[in-house]
Amino acid sequence: MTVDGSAPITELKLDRKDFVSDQEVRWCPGCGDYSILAQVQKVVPTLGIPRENFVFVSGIGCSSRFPYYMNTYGFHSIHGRAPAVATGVKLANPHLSVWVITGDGDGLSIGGNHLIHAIRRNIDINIILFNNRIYGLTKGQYSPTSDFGKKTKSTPYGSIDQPINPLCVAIASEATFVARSIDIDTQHLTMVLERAARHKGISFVEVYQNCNIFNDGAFAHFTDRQFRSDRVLYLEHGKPMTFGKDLQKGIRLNNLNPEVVELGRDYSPEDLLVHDEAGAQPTLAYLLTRMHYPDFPVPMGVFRCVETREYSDLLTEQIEEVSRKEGKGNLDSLLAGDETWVIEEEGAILESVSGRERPGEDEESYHPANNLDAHEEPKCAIRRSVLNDRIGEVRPDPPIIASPADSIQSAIERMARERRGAVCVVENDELVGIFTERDVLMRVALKGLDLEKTPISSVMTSNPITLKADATLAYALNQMAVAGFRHLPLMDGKKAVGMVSVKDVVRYMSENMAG
Amino acid sequence: MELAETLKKELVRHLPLPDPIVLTEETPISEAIQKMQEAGRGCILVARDGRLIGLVTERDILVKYLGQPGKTFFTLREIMTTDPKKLSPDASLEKAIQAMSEGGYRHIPLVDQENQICGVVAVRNIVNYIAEHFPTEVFNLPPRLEQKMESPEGA
Repeated sequence: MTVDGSAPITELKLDRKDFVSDQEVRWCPGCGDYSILAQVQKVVPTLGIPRENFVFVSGIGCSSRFPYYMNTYGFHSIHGRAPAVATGVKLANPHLSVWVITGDGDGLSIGGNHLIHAIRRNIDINIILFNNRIYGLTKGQYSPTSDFGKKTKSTPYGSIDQPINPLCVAIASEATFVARSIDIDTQHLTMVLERAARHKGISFVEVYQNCNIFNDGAFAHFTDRQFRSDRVLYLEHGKPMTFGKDLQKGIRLNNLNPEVVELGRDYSPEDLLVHDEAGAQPTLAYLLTRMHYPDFPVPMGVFRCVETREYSDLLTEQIEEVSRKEGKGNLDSLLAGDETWVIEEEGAILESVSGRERPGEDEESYHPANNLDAHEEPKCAIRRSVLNDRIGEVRPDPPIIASPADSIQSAIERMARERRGAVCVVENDELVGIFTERDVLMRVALKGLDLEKTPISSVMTSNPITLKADATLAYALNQMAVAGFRHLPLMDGKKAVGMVSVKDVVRYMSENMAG
Repeated sequence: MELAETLKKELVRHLPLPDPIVLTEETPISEAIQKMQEAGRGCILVARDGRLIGLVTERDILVKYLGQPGKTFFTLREIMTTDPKKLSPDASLEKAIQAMSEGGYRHIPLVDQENQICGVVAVRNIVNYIAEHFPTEVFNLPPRLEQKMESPEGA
């Protein structure tokens, strides 16, 4: 997808909240889909595309509920057919930013055929494939990407199918943008999604996504933060392939085979394979898709990114060229042309379909492998604190309260005098906004405003994200790490009773570290 | 390994830190603010010959530059914090956290023994690092937190 210049891009003041819909999100607690949703909602406002130009199309599956949760246009379409629907949407209006959200079942099993054809056409859509290597919605059967030997509901003695490697399929279908990321590696995922969005032509992104109910920990052995630097290879165009905490290891090519080497005595960075996402041949990208843990670190990032002619452009050009040569077409004359005929006989009567079986009686066979409530009490003090402690216990400072009409100058002076980083803007006892020192830097400094006369209402963030006293630290961390907020008002009903800063949270955790 | 143990062992330089914005003390404040706005960053390191001599944060912009309307400031020298709290890139995360919570700092410059600038660590980097240890509980949450499902629903 490209950032289309169709609409005059005045400054679009969109942020993540604009893309959060009012729908109740119905994924299981702890599902990796939440993290991917959060990153997509973070990336799309940065693309300079009006909100009404986004369309999210999905098929069937857990991930396919995605369009409901995006405050954009969307289709929850037919199983496996999202690429076809998305192709139609894009061709009908090439100015739209069209995204396909699919899973390993929807995209590679029933929809495998649609997937490869959308890819080979190089139509300018973004396909995000959530790969959790299991059928989650149907409660735990093996999927086309489940490992060989994997025991599931439908492979009780272990799968004897060889799994599909989605990136190999994409490369074999001549995808012009191929990438992989991890649901919980939020910064990397954001980068990959943004690059996918900005690529003109098909973008195919595989996201390793944890299904914590039916396939928990499928990727944890290399995605866990403590192993990640030694077991994941972050690809960077033009850079030698190094990995490890101190980048002390690398990938070298030995004939046609990659191998892991230690840098230092025998090898230097010059001996290593250099990543080239734009090579004439997709050979290197393909080779990388074949690297698996534990023999290799698992590659993440953009495997391939090349430019070729895009499908909707080609179609538009063809229509224009043919219209110029042969004149504007006429649908009626086409329909009434030589290639039509009439069937004289009565058609056969369709047999009525009846006796539909009742839904399976063994619906009870639903044993969440991992009920979050059933976790034993965590042993690590910080973990316990993050999961159980309530934000009220952090005891944040009471807020500085200002009214929307107060001048920017007065707010700045109060923040300076009272040594605080944010002001709660309150009207009729209700919180209506928040004004922080980040806003001072980004929206006030050098902007030529008359600080004495301009009200804070014109530079504050309206309807900010807030916390209730009984929210856990994990919630606060979510807003700080995912959305990037450093100040969150603590609420009692509609009244702001505190201001939680990122410093408060770190201080609180450091106190707990000792305890 | 318990996270508390990990924080003792993990080094600050292992965090994914962006390159710092480094300017000289003669830089006009307006130019520095522009750089901060473009990069969306809250902190500037002030250097002489690559050696750290000061730190300017958005807090300084607020408190000194905008917070005292009677006064006029021109260059970073006038608003920077001289000789700020520093750490070695080989300091542990635990040490960085302690320094941040004791001194109330949000940014700590990283320098080597010769005081050459190696980077800057922000409280945000620490929070992200800690959050990454609890991905299910921290990242995998719905966009509006009150929506959290209490039990597996299937989609």
